[in-house]
Amino acid sequence: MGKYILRRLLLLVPVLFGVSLATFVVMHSFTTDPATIILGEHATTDRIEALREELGLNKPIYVQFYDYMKNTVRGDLGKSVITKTSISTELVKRFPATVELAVSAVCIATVLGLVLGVVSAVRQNSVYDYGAMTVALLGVSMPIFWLGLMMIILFSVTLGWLPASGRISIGMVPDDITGLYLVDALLTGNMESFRDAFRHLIMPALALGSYSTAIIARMTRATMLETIRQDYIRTARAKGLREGAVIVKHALRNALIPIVTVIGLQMGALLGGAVLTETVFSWPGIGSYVVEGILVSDYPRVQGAVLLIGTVFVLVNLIVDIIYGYLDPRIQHS
Amino acid sequence: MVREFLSRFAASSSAMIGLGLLTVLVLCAVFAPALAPYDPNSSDLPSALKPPSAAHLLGTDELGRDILSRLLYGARLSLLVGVEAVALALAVGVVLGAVAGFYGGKIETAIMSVMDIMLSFPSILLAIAFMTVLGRGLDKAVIAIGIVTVPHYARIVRGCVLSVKENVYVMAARSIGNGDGRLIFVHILPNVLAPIIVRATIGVSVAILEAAALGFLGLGVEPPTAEWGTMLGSGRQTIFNAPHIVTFPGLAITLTVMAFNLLGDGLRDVLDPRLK
Repeated sequence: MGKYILRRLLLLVPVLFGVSLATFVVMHSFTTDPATIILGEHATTDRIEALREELGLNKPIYVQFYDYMKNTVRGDLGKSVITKTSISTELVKRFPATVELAVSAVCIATVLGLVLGVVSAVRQNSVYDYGAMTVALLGVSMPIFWLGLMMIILFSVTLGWLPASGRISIGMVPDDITGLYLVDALLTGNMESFRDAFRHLIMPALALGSYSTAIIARMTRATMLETIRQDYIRTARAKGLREGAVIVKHALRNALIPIVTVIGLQMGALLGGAVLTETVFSWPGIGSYVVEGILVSDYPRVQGAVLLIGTVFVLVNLIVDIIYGYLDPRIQHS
Repeated sequence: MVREFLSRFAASSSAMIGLGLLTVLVLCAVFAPALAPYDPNSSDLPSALKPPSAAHLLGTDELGRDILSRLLYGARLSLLVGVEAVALALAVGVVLGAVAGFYGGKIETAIMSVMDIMLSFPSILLAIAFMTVLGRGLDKAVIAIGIVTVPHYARIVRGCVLSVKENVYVMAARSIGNGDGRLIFVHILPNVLAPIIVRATIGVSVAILEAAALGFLGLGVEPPTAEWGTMLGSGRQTIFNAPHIVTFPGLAITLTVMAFNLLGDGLRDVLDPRLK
């Protein structure tokens, strides 16, 4: 197992190089000159030339790539061309917000998805089954940004129950330990901040998790339908086990492998979805940073954030692969 | 065989509901000029942000344009973008996947590594990055969404080709002197069509969702073109006093995506029960 993890970590090097190269190539295929975009079309040639020099755009492309890789390896993603602030610093500051949102969404999606899937498989072709699968169909069909807006209309505008945007109310930010507000509030025993942060998190996390909930529910139903017809389930029942124990300990446990795969794959969808959800709820994470960057043509910002998300995605996939080994001893990582 | 397919298709309730919904949507799109009560782009500021009424069944937007008319015209764009993006992704993905699966070795490693790197990014993020480079516009959205979904098809086709190419009939076809191209396109691909058709149908729904997301972020069509995602994006500003502006375009997207999902699910049950 140790060897397998080491080999996978080594394999990350070419993959991350590929990810950086892809980001660099896409961002440098700008049809319009970034310096012109930043300064506007009416800027003088001298100013554009000076900015091109400052941004290093006059160097040959391979030198630019070398510089970019050298800085990236050191953790320096350059400066925003608009705000002139360090992109790495800004990403580090915003990263916990996206992590908090994405992890909450995964938790919601996993719990809801498993429950919906198991219930509809155990009660196949019943009202529960049709109900759960209709919810799942809606989940894969609704654009998450629209679901977010509908939630705001219902829970914020009409009922006034939940805040429509932001991550926490002004003056409520807990002492910074991990950057995850819920965790920090708990660690410092600041329950008022915890409640406030939680209220801000509910709608974005539900909206972001909706698509994954649906996918997990469908996958769980399909694999559970297969497992509950196996002989060992009949054996478990025959020896007098309670139905609950048969379903959870014998059927679900064996159905988990494909379900974990799907949950792992959902992380990618969630990171992509975060771009949209963060925009809808003005959530100060990486996603809204990318979108703002695009709207003002701040290409180093987009480049840095895309690279970060790609890297996180690759790492998450690695972790999912390692978890398989623990769940299913038959999978030999050699 | 065709008769058997049709009878199984007709017996699948999800396929039939999907097909029914889709037929209505296509009719709306085709006959938009006849059905739309107003010009989708003519603004009428005094009647801006009006809720649904007899004059405007679904209300008006921030410029006083009739939302129903804009939705009907928008159906054309959404369906077109979805189908065109999938066609592009299929054309490239099928060839790449077939070549990788058929030849194996270094060619396969090279193609599949590029596909894997593309899959290292959430597809919507990659589409956003492409749009940043390509600029706004419908044709560009088609290209961006088409490119980022190529790996999905390449992977499926490669897997299918790998499982089929060792079959006796392929060997027989080769032994009577068929070239590689003929082997791939005439003898192998027709036998792996089922999963590709299913994936492509569901792929249209994914493409429509992504196009709507691009529109919502302001990277879609140029105004004043009526496009569902863009309508949602611009309606966001008035969500507190005129929630109907974002409600109806979202419903339209959901129904269309649902139609393709139902059709895809139904086709999967009919064409390839093993995938169920």
